[in-house]
Amino acid sequence: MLDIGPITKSLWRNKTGPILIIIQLAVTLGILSNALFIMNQRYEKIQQPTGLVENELLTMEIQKSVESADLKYIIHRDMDIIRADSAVIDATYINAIPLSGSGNSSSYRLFQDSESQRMRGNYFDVSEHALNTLGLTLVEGRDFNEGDVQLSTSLQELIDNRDVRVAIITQSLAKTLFPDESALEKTIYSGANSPPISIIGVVKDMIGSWPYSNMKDQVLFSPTSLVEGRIKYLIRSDEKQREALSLRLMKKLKEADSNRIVRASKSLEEIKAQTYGNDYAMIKILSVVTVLILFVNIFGVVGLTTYWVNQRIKQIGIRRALGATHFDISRYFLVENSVLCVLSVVIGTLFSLAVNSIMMKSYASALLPFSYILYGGLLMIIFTLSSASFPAWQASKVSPAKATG
Amino acid sequence: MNRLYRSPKLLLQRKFKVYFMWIYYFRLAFVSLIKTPILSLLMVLAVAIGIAACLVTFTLYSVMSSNPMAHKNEYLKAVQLDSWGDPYRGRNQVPPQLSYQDSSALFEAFTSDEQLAEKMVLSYKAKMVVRHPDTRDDASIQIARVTTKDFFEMFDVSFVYGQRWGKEEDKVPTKVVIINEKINSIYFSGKNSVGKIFLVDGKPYTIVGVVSDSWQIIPKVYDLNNGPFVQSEELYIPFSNAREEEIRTFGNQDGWNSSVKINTRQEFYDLAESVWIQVWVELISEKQEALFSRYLESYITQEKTKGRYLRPLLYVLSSPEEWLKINKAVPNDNKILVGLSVVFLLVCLVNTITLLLAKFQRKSNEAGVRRALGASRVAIFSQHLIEALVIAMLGTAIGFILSSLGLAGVRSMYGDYEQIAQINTITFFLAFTLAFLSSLVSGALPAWRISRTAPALYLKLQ
Repeated sequence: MLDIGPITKSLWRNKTGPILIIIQLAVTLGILSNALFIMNQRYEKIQQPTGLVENELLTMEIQKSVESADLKYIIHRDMDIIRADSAVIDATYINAIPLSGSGNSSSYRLFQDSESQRMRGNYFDVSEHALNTLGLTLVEGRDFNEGDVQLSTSLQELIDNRDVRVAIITQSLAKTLFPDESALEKTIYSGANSPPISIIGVVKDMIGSWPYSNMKDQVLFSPTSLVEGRIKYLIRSDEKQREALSLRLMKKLKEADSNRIVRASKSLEEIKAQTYGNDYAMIKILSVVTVLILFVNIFGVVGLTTYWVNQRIKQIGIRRALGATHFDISRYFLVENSVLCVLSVVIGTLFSLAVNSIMMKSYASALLPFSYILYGGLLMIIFTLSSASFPAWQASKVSPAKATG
Repeated sequence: MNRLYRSPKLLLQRKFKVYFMWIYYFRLAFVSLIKTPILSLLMVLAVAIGIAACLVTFTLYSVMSSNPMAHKNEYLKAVQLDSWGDPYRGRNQVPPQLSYQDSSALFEAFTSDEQLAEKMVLSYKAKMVVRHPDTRDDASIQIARVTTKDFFEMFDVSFVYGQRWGKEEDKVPTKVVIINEKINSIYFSGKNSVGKIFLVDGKPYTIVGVVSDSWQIIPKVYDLNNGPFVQSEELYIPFSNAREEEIRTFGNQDGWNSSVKINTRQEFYDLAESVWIQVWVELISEKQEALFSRYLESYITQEKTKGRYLRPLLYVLSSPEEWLKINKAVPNDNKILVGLSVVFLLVCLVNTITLLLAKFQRKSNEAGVRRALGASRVAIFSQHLIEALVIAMLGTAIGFILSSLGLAGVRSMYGDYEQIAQINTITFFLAFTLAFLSSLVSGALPAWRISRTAPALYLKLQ
């Protein structure tokens, strides 16, 4: 016997308070379920595998500061200095940093004519050390070798030696370009006037420059680089030695040359955190909102239950005098709160879906899965009942003598 | 009560009494709040949290959604030309920037016929190495804006020293530079550096002006491509140098037609269908706008005969307000949070209503006695509404403190929000409005309920 009938009746008799608390809890569920959903979406986005050895990578930025500086010489010498360090596993120069939010893209097509369908891809110009540095695995074909690599310092030079070009692409790009067959040894073009690019290898997927883009894992590596003033270095090392190595290399590189600026090195993890900064912030803000709204509800439930207890001190005394146990009294208030909770969850479900549909319309958000309403509801019921249990326990301590008070 | 003051002599005294009454209500409110300290604290805290959430999100939103060029909104226009091969993907389906060949053609037309527009600004972002000529070790990489002289007047740039360059420098490549206060303090220890030589990308440039650090445009309407809330650039260089010095863009660049053969960097400037330059014009009359539009039409028609502009003739002129909308300067996350905070405040207020109802119900015998002794319903209602007002005021005061903590948190989480997440006049104004509204929303129902208390019932009980 849970006395649900009499409890509901007594709630109905004085309904303003209960209706208000139901509204409060229902709206809370609307916020909770949607906040949990958004947080989880962002978390999944951040956690998506990048295919890179993220925690082993250091980046550096080089820019020439003297007109006469010979960048080709500088880059090769810098690479030698970097690879000579015992903590370095491998290193490459690269035109842009993966996951950084900035990079280069081009369109690729299967035929040279301009009518041919174009697919967009994110490209990186690198040396033969790139795959090893990034930690990418070849699934087909071969890695770049020294003979593939061309480093030009002017557009003219790049064009002069661009007759043969090779590239390694990710599985995603391979599938987009050649849905039904292997991409290996196939030829693609980046424009109607560009030389043919022959695909010599296919690597497992990685996320390129733009984790938010729909072509995030359509990546192409080219061993033909054009360096006009600035370039980036990617260095792979043991995770534990990363920081010390960064300081050591900065010092060595600065000592070697003053014709170019070496910009403070950052780890790829830092760069990733910056790129995903807004998502991290949203997760933090929503967690604060979730905690605060639960607090506010605790205030409400504790306050209201305390009031109900005080209001009925006399009745509690009578029930106690007629033989009701501590447990019976507590149970009354807990059942009362449970009835309110259940009603709130029902109304709150509708409200959650309403909030979600607004977000779907305005911000192209995804459909709220029912499980979030369930989790939200569960969380709310647990918090409501545990906060009601304190005043309910206080109520059970009312002395039977109050019956006459 | 009115009966007591029928005598005209006492009218003045009555007025005073009414005034006194309100003070008395405030005192009653405080006494009542102190009587139930925990309940009061819960109500105040709930209101405080709700108001703090709203203050934080509204402050962010108010700055993000503001139009810094509102005072020139009718005159300024962002220029877009549809030079694309396919329909352009993104924004308003027209390339958001112009190519070098198009923007310099526009600028040439403007310099030869100044009736075409009041002002014209071409600009783009570049990354450059700067150095003091006397030392070798202090080189650093800085962000520059490569632009025309009208930039400074169009966007109300304020100078600490010197001024913008002149017309001549826009026509002939000239090595002059304008730096901001930060660079001036690093390389010239904050002294007037106008006339001094500064090395930019290894070449000597003469400083003609120093821009005040207090000048910032938020959102950065003239270039919304790489974050609408990033700070303005460190140095400014005449656009006339762009081609000669081959100053590459550090902003977005987008191209399409690779059937144009390009063999050198110079050819890239002259021929490439690659867009990276932002173009703004100031058109002061409808007549001028019509003239400029006609010019754009004739320019596109003329380019079509050369085999360019394959799509239907289309150009777009947008006011700063429209431009901010097209480029979605306010992030969706922020809009979601504004909505969420309003609903959140609602929860907090409903919470306060419930608690006040409960509390006032307990006080209903007191109210019954007062009613029996002649207090009007209005008097009881005002007395209790004032209690709600006191709660809302205390809540707002605490909420204000919480919101400054919240904004500090936001600043630490978002790199670009240094200038946005600050308490401003709107925050203040909003805080008071919210306090007033919350007290009405949370107090009206409970106060009305208690003002309906029947006097007799409680007298009997006493």
